[in-house]
Amino acid sequence: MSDLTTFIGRVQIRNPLILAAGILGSTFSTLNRAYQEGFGAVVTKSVGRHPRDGHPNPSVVYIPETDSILNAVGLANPGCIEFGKELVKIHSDVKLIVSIFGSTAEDISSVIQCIENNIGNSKSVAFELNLSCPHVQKVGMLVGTDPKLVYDIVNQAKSITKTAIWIKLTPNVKDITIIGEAAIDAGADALVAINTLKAMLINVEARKPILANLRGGLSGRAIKPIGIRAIYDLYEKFGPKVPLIGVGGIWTWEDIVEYFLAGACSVQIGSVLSQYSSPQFIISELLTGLQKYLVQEGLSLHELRGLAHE
Amino acid sequence: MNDILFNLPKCLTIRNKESHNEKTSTLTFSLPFEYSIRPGQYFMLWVPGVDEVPISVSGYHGTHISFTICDVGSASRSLNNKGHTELIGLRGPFGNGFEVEYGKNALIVAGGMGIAPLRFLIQCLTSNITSSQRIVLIQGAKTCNDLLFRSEFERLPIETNFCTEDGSYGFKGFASTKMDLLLGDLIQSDFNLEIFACGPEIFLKKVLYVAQKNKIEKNTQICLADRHIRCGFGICGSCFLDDIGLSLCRDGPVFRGSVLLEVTDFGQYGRKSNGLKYQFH
Ligand SMILES: Cc1cc2nc3c(=O)[nH]c(=O)nc-3n(C[C@H](O)[C@H](O)[C@H](O)COP(=O)(O)OP(=O)(O)OC[C@H]3O[C@@H](n4cnc5c(N)ncnc54)[C@H](O)[C@@H]3O)c2cc1C
Ligand SMILES: Cc1cc2nc3c(=O)[nH]c(=O)nc-3n(C[C@H](O)[C@H](O)[C@H](O)COP(=O)(O)O)c2cc1C
Ligand code: FES
Repeated sequence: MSDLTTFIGRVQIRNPLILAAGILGSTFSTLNRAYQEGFGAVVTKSVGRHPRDGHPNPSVVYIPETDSILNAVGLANPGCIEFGKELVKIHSDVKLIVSIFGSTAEDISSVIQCIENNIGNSKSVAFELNLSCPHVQKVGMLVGTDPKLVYDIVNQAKSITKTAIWIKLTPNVKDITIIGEAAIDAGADALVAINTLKAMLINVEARKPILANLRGGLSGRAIKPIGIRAIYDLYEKFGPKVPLIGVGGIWTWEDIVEYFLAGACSVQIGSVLSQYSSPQFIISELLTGLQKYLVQEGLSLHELRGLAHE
Repeated sequence: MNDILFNLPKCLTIRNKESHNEKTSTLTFSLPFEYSIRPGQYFMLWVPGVDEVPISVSGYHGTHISFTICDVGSASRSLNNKGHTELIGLRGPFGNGFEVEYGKNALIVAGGMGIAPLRFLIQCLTSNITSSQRIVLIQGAKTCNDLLFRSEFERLPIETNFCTEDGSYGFKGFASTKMDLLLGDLIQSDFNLEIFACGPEIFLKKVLYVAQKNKIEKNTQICLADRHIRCGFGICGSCFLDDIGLSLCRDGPVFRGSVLLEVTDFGQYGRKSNGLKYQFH
């Protein structure tokens, strides 16, 4: 048996599979259940300062031809005060990552403080900052596309908490490494790539976009090559010293190996859960496949990392 | 996702429309081909430009599929107001549906709009009914006018018990109260009994209480509808039940009474579209 214990900087988890943000993770029950069923760690749905109802339906649809999902949930969340109360009910053994969004550095820091006031500063192993929120000052632009703003956000977040800060990068930029660099310069503990890609579907019969929000984000199998490239680019720039978490389109254990070869030290999975009646089935399938591969190749997970660059 | 007919909305025109009262009507569509659909399953019905909402299948025969919709807000109103030429998107079928054992005696308990999925169940059960089999329906509603499909049920080989809150028809009181009065006798005469129920969650809690009192909660299948649905396939997290973490949209909407006894929120709290808990009343 190959040891699957994974380190993401200081954070140690029992295996490299992490539940991605916004998948199942809106309630304490689902987060407890997902961890119990075998994830190495779980990320919550992104939470902001104030409650948001999100967009009307259709807001999440499955695209069978490409095993993908188009969503525009619209950051629905009960606000950090209520969500903090929810998180108190998470079992103490769960490796929890709280995902946070906001439009400014103050916004994000205040949510971190609010969550820590509720759950203390040891319950979550990391905060994952989802920077795909619209930038309030620059209309139409996303927070995570402005390197200076990313620097300020991470800098301020690092100054108010001892908990690790992970930055989730959007692929909707010209060069993902520029944003990654801003985050790392400001002290980010890990980079997570990628979030969903801007996308749209139009219903031919109705001649109308399917999502109520018209535009949404694409996840699932179709986006894996884009995620792989993002991780490859980031590893090429930073080398092994910066922990990278690969997300996007993981469907099989081979996909995980691919992300590790590109330079990831851990992965998150989301859309693939739509294919299984319960997370435990996909988790055991992925971990068994990965174990077998590592034994057969005589490699540790750690040794696998970045091999495609040699 | 393999058993989903339409993963993306398929737009169809309304084949037939039947009004039951000022607020409720049944819309029938024609599917492109026959498909296996179980009672208790639901579709997401999309009114382009308005919203997309979960609606149970209330009848299915050949390729004709029906939905019975009560006007409670923008999407349901707009569905009820649609004419024959307008397009409605169908996505589904979603959810587990009832486990139907043909030949077994059945007690069906409906509160208000909860009759919608149970009407499809009754269609299935009566189309295969055996001479010794008993199908007992207890249908409750606010007034006589709200007892949907009453005359249809009266023509079927089932034992009907109608209840109204205002006493305008049948027993005056809740269907759960009537169930409490009838269940003891039914259990004595029929050992092999399955209970099927649907309605508002507060009502279903009473149904489960009566079932539990008679030690028949394992044979009680309850169809829930009071959670916010977005995806329908168990991924977005909007519809989960505390604390066991089962989804209403995919693991449900039908749960055994013995499972619901472990759902701490059952009959007490729902969640809004932003995840905030609210109390049922
Ligand atoms: C599995 C399931 C089966 C259902 N079957 C039927 C049926 O056969 N017939 C019927 O009339 N109704 C049914 N409902 C309820 C129906 O979905 C709501 O009445 C409808 O969504 C109201 O939408 P609206 O836009 O008209 O009202 P709104 O003004 O938008 O909302 C009114 C109330 O409807 C509920 N609601 C709104 N959107 C949703 C949503 N996306 N998911 C769940 N609830 C929502 C909320 O409780 C809300 O407070 C079912 C619900 C579920 C979950
Ligand atoms: C329904 C849905 C909701 C999501 N919500 C969030 C969110 O709240 N915050 C976030 O950072 N990412 C969110 N994501 C993106 C995922 O975390 C992940 O980055 C993306 O889905 C790619 O991974 P996958 O292909 O394995 O799904 C969401 C994705 C989906 C499908
Ligand atoms: S509606 Fe998305 S998980 Fe149930």
